[in-house]
Amino acid sequence: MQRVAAADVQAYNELVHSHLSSIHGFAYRLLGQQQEAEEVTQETFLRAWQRANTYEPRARVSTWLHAICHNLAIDRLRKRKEHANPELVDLAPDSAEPQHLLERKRTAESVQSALDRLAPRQREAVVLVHYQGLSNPEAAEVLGVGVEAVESLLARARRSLKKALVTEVHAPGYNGVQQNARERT
Amino acid sequence: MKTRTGLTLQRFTELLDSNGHDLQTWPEPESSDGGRLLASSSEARVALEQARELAVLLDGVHPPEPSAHLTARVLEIPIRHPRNEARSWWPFATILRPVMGLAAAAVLGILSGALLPPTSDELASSGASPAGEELPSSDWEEMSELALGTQLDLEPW
Repeated sequence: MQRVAAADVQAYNELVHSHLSSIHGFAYRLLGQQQEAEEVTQETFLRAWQRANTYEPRARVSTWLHAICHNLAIDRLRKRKEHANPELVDLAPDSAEPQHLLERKRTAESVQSALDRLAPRQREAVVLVHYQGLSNPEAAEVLGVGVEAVESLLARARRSLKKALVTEVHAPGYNGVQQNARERT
Repeated sequence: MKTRTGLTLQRFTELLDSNGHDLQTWPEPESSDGGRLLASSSEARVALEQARELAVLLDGVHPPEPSAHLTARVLEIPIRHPRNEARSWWPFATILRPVMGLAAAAVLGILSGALLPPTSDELASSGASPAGEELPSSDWEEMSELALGTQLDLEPW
């Protein structure tokens, strides 16, 4: 980051290659729209380039980038006033596909639907810790709360998810989620 | 139910929800206590299995990969937004720029004055001819006849 702060373009390129996919995934999971996710990703790296000298080594670079991206995404969501449903790209069932792929898509749709129903802060905590691989203290830093608050958010989120997905498993006409999960363990 | 590990099943389930199914990421002594509880409690093992299943289900939802266009746009940022490093340590960069421009113009003016040949006005005021020697008027008449086929009017315009 010191090299990026010194306007070293090569160091900036390395930063992009290391974190672009993760930051884009994070933006997408928060915003649920491909175009907005790309815009926020660009804006995140623009700020990282322009404000690299404000980075403090006490945090990992990844945590710092997530914090920038989170702030930008939250601004967008506030302007939107409400969370949009993710586009669920490539999740729509296709009758020409094999049965196991259809089941997997249905499972993914169910999980995404359960994630969408979470309270925004709970979803952000799950995304940061489960999908982005941040530790609880790092997620707390990104969200601007204490570690205990993050643990509380995660506990409520996971309980809701288990309840929702187990409920769907036992609903009439549904038998895919838990079976697929077991197949992949 | 509290076991000899000091960790209740309820607390074990809470830790699964707040810290995930990987007991190695749990704080101590809960991590060690959780391992002992698993060895002795089938209910704890069921709770752990459910937590693992949830993690696997969550892993089944993937965001799209960043497009090549996005990658290119992000890599172009230093080109589209070059940083002026002078600003970071020199607070008068915006004042320095026009001053440096004026100084450069002054130096160019001095150099051009010293190196370029004098103009006809300067020569006239100093009394020298461009060729270094003034021609007599009869020679001017002859030269103009040869060049233009007629005699120039040497009267002042």
